Amino acid sequence: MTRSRSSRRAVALAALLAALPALAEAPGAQQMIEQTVTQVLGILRDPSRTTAERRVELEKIAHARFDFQTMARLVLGRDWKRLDTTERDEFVDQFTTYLANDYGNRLDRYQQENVIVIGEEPKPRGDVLVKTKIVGGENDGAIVDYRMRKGKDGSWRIIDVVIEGISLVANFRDQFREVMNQGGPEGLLKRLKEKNAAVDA
Amino acid sequence: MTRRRRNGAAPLGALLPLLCALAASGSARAEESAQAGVEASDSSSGSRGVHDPWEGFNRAIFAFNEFADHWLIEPLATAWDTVVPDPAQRGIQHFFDNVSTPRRIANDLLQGKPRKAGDDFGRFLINTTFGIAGFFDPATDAGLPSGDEDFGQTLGVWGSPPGPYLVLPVLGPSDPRDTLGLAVDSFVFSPEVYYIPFYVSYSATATRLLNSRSLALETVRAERESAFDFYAAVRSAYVQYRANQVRDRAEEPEAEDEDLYYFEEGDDQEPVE
Repeated sequence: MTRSRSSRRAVALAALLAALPALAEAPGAQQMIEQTVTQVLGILRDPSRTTAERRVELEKIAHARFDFQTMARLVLGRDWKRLDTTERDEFVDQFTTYLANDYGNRLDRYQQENVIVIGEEPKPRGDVLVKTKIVGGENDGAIVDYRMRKGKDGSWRIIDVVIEGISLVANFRDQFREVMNQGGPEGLLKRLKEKNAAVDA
Repeated sequence: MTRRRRNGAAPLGALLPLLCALAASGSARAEESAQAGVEASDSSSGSRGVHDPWEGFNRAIFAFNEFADHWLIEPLATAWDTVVPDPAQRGIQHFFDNVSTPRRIANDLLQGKPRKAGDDFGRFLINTTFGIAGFFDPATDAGLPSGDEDFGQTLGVWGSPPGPYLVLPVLGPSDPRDTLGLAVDSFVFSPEVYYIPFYVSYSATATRLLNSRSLALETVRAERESAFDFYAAVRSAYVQYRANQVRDRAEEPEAEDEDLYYFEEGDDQEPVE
């Protein structure tokens, strides 16, 4: 009796110890957002960088932290089926470029703000919602949530940004559905390419 | 028109007040979209679904608002922005926020939130005195955050659905519930309108709208530019933002978005040609 209890305890302890380094290696969803926030604010506040340099760095972060592949599919919802394989690849590609650009663009407007990470909330099928709050600046008090999903490589990536209840994915889905109702998948790809070309110019 | 910008609106949220104040789309092709709208109107994304059976009409009004904004409101707001320094604009906004306290308290109470009503009353006292007639907002620094309850939200809390999306001339995005709410807030819960001459309250409203449009010049420009279909972007933002306000931000868990975040079964199959 005593023996089995202590051995059980030993097993539990061993399991815990074994899990510790794993925990240290793969940061949780909340830690991921905390790191990203620190990184982004550091870039935004660095006076030695030009706007163009900042944008390049922010885009790099966006590529590392967002799961653009998943976002592209979610954004199309059931319309994803209307795209053939080539169109899908092209869409993911173009939409990724667009979002990364947009992310850099948007953030550059919010330099005087600070961000607190409030906490995280579990969501169905392993997703996690990390809640943050903006402090200072014009958007003081705004709640910004990050929907996170664990990738196959074990790292957490952002699949949606929800600002004051407004989901980015839902917003794009509504817009893209309208665009596709007008011009089909070709029309959508054309619009995306135009947008991206306008940014590069 | 009692809708106004809270102190702390989000990047997109900051857009909303002014969306309410005007909203517009450069690329609104009302007629073409009228047909497309029939198909689009039943599109839903779970709890964030957009119900827009009046899309043809709405797009026409939206185009009108865009036109009015482009030729009248935005130029005026730009002029205002040049003349009135930013801190003064924020002061004016705080002043109007403070004046709307009766509306907030009435709706706090109707929604069964006495604590919030107390907070709003405390805000009113602090900001009217230390905040010099409400032009400053020391209450927020003192830990009394601003709420923004209106009668549209009250009806939502009581269980009324918003109804179809509706674009109002000049006032912008709404729905039948919020339109009724706006009327009640403007006439029942704004006692000042009975004590001051109509031309004073009209000019006050005009000033408030112009001021809030002026505070959002940059945001609107950027959102308009980045949108693929500005009408749809505004619609989706409005519907989601209001649903969130009725839910009261982070206080209650949001509805699960099955349809938004997970792929349907069979999605991996080859596309149907």
